[in-house]
Amino acid sequence: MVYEKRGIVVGIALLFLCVTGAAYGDDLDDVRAAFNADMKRFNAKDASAFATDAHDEVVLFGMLSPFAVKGKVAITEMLEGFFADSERVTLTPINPEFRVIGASALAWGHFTNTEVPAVGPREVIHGRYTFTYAKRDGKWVLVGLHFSPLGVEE
Amino acid sequence: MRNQERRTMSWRCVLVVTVVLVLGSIASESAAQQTRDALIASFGEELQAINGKDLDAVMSNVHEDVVLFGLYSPFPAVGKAAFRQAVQDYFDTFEEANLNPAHEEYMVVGETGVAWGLYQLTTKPKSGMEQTVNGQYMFTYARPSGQWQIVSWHFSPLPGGN
Repeated sequence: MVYEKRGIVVGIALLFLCVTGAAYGDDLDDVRAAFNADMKRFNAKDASAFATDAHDEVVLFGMLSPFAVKGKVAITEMLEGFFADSERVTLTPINPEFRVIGASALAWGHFTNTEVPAVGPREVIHGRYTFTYAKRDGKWVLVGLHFSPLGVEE
Repeated sequence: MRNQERRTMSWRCVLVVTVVLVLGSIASESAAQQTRDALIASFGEELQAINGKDLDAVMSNVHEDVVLFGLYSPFPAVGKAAFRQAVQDYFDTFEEANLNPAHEEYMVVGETGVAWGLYQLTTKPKSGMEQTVNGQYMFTYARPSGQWQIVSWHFSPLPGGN
């Protein structure tokens, strides 16, 4: 009888671990997918990158201005201007990492951004990034992005 | 007579529902304001602890899985122990250090908080001259147990910000 009870308790504990582990894994996959989709849009010179799955008030510290760019509309407009001046842009994440903490998530790592401008020499920027996500109504939305350049090579 | 009673009852119901909705909305706004105020207070306390070189106070609201992109290493410090070591190194390097935020802004989206702005960091090394650098910061907070905890710090110096 005692063994049966223990078996039931262990079974419930294992089930709980499986369910929570799977949920965490799903969240991590969802955040990774949202991040990868934004990278794909950016490299396709799609100005909706960082705005499609973003919160209306998403904030960006980027490489083009010392000031924060606030809101989906402002970020899209900034990217439109940037892409208009570029022939080709390739943003490559290096060692991308992801973490989910409750209803918050982070994506971070290093990046290399290679820009072939419409006029002028190719520019390569190496740096670091942190993306912040919040889970709203079951969906991960981007709420903050911070790119910090470490160096430029031409 | 019955019709009038029904109308009166209907109006009473509408009134009660309206009052409940208005009170609910006020309570919700008040709770949201309290959450935001708590985030701002947490940021202020953190800053005070950094400038006061109080390592334990700095660490008191740091999540186990914190990620730091700081000013003195290109690599991230991942986890509470690495974060603690990075802050300790910062305290050990400078005789005096003062981090002053400017244009501070805050945003709360559900259980996630973001604090961002510009900073001016004035440092006096144990040997050497005082130096001032300017840059951008973004702190991310999570509230897994009802209290704001730091999950990310990202500092980036501005080019020519010395």
